[in-house]
Amino acid sequence: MSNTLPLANSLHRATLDALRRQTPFAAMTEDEVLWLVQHVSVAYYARDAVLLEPSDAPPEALFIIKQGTVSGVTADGQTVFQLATGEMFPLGALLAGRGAANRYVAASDTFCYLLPAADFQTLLARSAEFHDFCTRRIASLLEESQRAVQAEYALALDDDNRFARALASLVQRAPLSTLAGTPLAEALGAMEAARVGSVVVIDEAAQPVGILTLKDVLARVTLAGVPLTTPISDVMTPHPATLPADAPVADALVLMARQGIHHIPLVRDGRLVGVVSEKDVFALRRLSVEGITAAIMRSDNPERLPALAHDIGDLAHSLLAQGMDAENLTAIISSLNDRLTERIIALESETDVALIGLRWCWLALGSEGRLEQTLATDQDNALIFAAADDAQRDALRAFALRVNHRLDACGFPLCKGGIMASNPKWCLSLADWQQQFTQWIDHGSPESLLHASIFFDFRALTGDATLALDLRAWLNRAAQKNPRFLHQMAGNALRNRPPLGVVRDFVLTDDTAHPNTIDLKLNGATPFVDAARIFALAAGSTQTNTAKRLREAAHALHIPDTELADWNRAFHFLQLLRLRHQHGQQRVGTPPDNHLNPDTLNPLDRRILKEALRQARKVQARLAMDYKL
Amino acid sequence: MIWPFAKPLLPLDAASSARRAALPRHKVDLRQPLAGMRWCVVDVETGGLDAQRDPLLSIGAVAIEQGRIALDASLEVGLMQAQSTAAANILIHGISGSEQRAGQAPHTALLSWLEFAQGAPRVAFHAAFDQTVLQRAEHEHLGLSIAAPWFDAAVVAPLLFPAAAPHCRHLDDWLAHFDIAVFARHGALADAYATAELWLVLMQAAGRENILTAQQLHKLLRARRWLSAN
Repeated sequence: MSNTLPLANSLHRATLDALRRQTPFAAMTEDEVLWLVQHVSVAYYARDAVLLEPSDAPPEALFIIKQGTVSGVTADGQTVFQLATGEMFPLGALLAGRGAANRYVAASDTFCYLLPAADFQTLLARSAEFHDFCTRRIASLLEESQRAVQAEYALALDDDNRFARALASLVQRAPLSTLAGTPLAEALGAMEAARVGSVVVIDEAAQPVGILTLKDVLARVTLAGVPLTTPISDVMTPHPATLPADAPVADALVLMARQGIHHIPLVRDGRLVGVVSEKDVFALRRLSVEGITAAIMRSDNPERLPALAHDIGDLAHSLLAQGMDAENLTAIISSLNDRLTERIIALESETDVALIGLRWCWLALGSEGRLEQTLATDQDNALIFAAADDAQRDALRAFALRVNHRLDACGFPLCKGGIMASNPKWCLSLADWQQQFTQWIDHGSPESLLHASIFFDFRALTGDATLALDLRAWLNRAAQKNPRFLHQMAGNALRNRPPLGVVRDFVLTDDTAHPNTIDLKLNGATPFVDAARIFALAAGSTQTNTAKRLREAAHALHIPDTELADWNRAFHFLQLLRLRHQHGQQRVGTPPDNHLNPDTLNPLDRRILKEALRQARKVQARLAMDYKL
Repeated sequence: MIWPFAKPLLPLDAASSARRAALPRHKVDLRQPLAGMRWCVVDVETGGLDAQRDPLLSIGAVAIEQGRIALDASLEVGLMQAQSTAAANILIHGISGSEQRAGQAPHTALLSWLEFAQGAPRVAFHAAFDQTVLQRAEHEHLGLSIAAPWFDAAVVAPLLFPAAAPHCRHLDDWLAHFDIAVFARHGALADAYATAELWLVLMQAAGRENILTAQQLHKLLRARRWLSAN
């Protein structure tokens, strides 16, 4: 590429260096950027000057803002977006070879680099990075941002210094120990009862003299055909490696790795005080989905569940750090929360004789219903049952109340609006639910629409799922029969405008409790969620998840794949921002919320946020078109 | 000033003679609209502050065409020196002795400059200095007296922005006033480029003041006796 170029002079080099501090030029090769530099010219536009008029003819050049701000103005004179230094336009028009739809006006004195359209096409063909960026601009910005996040979190993890902690802090229970003469049958029975993987053999002074693990049992007892009356000392590993209880966790990691062992007895003054297993150490290093799931399912004691709920938060943190995308991350958080809730429900219902013989189903609503939970989630749940007399209804509500309080203890605060299964209004038979839904659909008042937006995302969590499936099938028929209701829902959804600013990049809230912020949930994610719900109801879909609803709808509504992909990326970026924001708050001990000050974002994330909100507008535009609003 | 020689001091080689003969001779029509004018924005580095005596070290220039600075065809040439200049100036310009000696032969560098500039009106900040140095060198090494019109951004700027003038003396002041971000400065080309961005701002302002041609601008400057030469 470079052999056809004039030699680069100092101006070319300086321009190259300045451009390469920005996306996407940072990822392009030096030759490619130099080629760009040697094909652009620099133009100046005083404030209010028009850079580009809407037209039927394709634009003559790509504009790259060198410095300044440019507004996009629609035919009716509304400023719909602002572009800042480093941003490019009109990408869509250039790529599609059509005229620009908006008027571009300098919002401040602005210098731009102009790349002739033919050279833009050449660069697209020559640079894979540039092509990628232009055609998947939100995607490439996201990847860029993700890398930055990973680096940031990796540092944060190191800072925690968790491997310097004392081993004793990992010990959760008294060690299982036995004397050398104990018959195997008794020792193995004790292991089973305590649900541990090892037993330490001690002498009269409580000093460890041997260890037997479940792994050893297979080879040394079962396969060897040793009778269970044999004393444990015959098959144990003598002289086990031990560590002082106040040794750092790192020592255990090293010892386990060197000797290939999975359990280490801890001693204080020579006496056994605990056992750490590889699992304990690894739980610290990387909480796993499987590990937490297993711990939840194993737990017989509801008092221990709050600690596991805390582990879910820690796991979310570490997955965020590893760069997991928001779609998977929110799905994992939701499914772990599902397991936790299921376990609570099982513990509370299995022992409740009043519930015997009743058909009921626990419904997850709102974000949990959609499998989109973030870290700041209060409870939204309800109960559906087949038929019950008054006493049985009381028993169901009493059971639901116990579950609600257990969930509260696990960090899911009681719903301020009372949308919980213990509320008599939301603990209903199938027929009552149908009646309630009918009322909302027919009524169409703001309150009805609000309720519909929470309840219509219901999903069976545990119990008799056929009740929920019947209700879903019924609801889809009822909604499709009532186009006026969907029209009202669409109108309601469109009243919530994404906060893209005219004067500044963003419209900040006038809420005095959260000055200079935007509400990532209400103004960011909700437009996608609302639109997806309406698409799904109109199409009779059984999906409750926003991304899945959009994917199904895209097919039915003939929305191009690329557009759908941008919608979902935008939605998940907003979700990711919420997660990162909430996690940051949790780390400093403030309750998580959704109010983000965009100035705290780095310039790249700010640009993506703008792009994501622009996508929210596109989804709304589609909704407005479908419902002629 | 009267030049003592009608011909260059040293005879030119055949190739350089041919290049000199091929230089465009047409005069530029200053009555065409400002927006369509081709401008040549230039800055020079010299071995001192005496325009009559100190040697020309390098030339940096960019062209403005149709109201845009073209980056591809920018000019950056160093002039080979018989002996390098004093250390004091190296500090100002950052051109080391070896870089000075490594430039092109002066007549070649000046041919490149004139081929780049063609008949376009020249623009510089404190243009009298650049004009004197370049015209002296053109005569000395090529035996040419080129009568291209010169425009001084340092004079045009206060004319169009009188309110800012009291606190803007240097190029940096005006750049700061218009909030123009510049790359590393103090090379001839970097300064020429910064001046060109300033010139874009000034030409927009001229249009707003109903100054529509270079000739109008030229007359206005003369009338106010702000144009020091020509």
